[in-house]
Amino acid sequence: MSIEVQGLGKSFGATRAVNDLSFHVPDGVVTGFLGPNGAGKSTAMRLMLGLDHGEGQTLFNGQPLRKHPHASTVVGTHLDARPFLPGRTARDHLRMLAADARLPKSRIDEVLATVGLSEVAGKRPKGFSLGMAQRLGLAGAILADPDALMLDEPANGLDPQSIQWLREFLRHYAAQGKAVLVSSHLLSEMQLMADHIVVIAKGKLVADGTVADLTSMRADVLVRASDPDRLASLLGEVPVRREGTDALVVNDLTTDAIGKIAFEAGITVLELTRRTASLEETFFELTGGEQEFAFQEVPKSEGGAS
Amino acid sequence: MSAVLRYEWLRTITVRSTWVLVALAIVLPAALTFFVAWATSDIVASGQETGPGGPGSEGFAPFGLSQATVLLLGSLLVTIGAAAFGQEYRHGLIRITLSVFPHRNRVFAAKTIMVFLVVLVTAVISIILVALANIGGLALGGASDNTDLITGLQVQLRALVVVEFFVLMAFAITALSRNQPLGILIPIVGAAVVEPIITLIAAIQNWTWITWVLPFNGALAGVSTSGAEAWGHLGVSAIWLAAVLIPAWVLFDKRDA
Repeated sequence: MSIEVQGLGKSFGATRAVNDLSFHVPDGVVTGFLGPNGAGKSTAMRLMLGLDHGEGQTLFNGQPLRKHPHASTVVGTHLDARPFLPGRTARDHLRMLAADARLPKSRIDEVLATVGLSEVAGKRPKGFSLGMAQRLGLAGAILADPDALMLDEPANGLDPQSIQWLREFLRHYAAQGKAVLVSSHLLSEMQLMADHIVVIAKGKLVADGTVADLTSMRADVLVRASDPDRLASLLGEVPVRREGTDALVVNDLTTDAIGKIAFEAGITVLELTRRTASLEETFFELTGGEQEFAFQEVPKSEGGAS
Repeated sequence: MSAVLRYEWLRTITVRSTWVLVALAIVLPAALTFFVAWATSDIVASGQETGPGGPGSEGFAPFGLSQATVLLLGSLLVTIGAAAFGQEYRHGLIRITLSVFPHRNRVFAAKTIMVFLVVLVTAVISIILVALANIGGLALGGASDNTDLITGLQVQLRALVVVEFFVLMAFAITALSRNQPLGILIPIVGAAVVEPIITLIAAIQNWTWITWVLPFNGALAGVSTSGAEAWGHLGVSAIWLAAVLIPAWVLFDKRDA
């Protein structure tokens, strides 16, 4: 199963929330869906599912969701933090969702056990914490063992152990040849969870690739040498800039190549390091200035806390 | 279609409020009818109530079905109609529902059918119990229900239509407005407060046609009148229902979830 998003678009009045958005959610890996607040992630996910009306189309295994006889076996969704009636028990909520695929009762118990809610299966979820609510939402999404998952901020409200569990669960789920699309603001978590990243800002696609591709976009090599000026001249047309008194920052050359050039010129290399940006740094660079409701800049404090 | 009907059935029966409302709708009208029948049994027995309003005439609550009884039954069941969409929009469940069942027309149809059937079964039981309570109350006071069987059955049938009208109006208003309290309040307040005031003003102004245009009191007139006039009132109610239900259906398909 793969998901093909083609030319999604949506306007709210004069605001263009999603603009000609196209990307691919491959199977077998977790795809992170990133963007600042108001970037259009949730709107895009609703458009993908046909919940909002707009331009473009989304194909699930080559067909729109409406064309599949049992949508719940195609894609499981968890889009809202508390997507249930507070007065309906957790088990009954899942019983209701099981109606489409005619799932046996044993599957409901199995899913409740998977997300760790067996003990509260008969309870009404009005008293559930946000973390428990998220688990119930996830239980609903995976109930029919769908070929794809679409989860909007599923880690919100989860404690560190639960986040770790979610990460491992989603990676395992994807490894069975299923497509998993997860939106999140937790960039460090997404770096651990996702193999493929789609970044949008102001409704437009700004990056689409593997985590390694994205973080290496800002990769460079730091080289500290005994004679940095001579080394810089030997590197030719390659972009080089000075950093500190004895260091150069080199783009577009590998550490091996730089080391060889220095060695052949008899320049002593004191440090040779390949630096890659974190996903967070890449995210900020890709989406810089694109936050819809930007904060006022905080003035830098003089001196650290004592 | 069967899957979405099953979904709607489970959605309806897995909330406690449905059962509470069904129980109240079955018990309260019957209890009230029993009390009223017992309290008025001496009048019935003395035979003072001839003419419009007397036993055997449609005006005097044939089989215990007065306008008040039907209004009470309808008021108790409107929440089931309003909750079909109200609960889903209030708690964001509609997005799950439409993810599982992307064909919106089927979802709307299934909700309409399920509300109709649940209310039908409940109202039939309630109306039968009202008839039995009426017989029991009158008997306790030494009187008997002399309602003609055919007349009584016709009134029961029209009462059923009126109750369905109230509930489906609540259903359609909620679907249209995405606001459950509005869906509950408009039929009840409209029938019990607003329209009686309008009727009063109309009586002063001698606007005799007014019951032919009011949606809720017009529907209730379908119980208190007979023959073609009664069915005419229900026909007008059907037009009112279509005027709200059709836009609700169209907008459900066109609007974002």
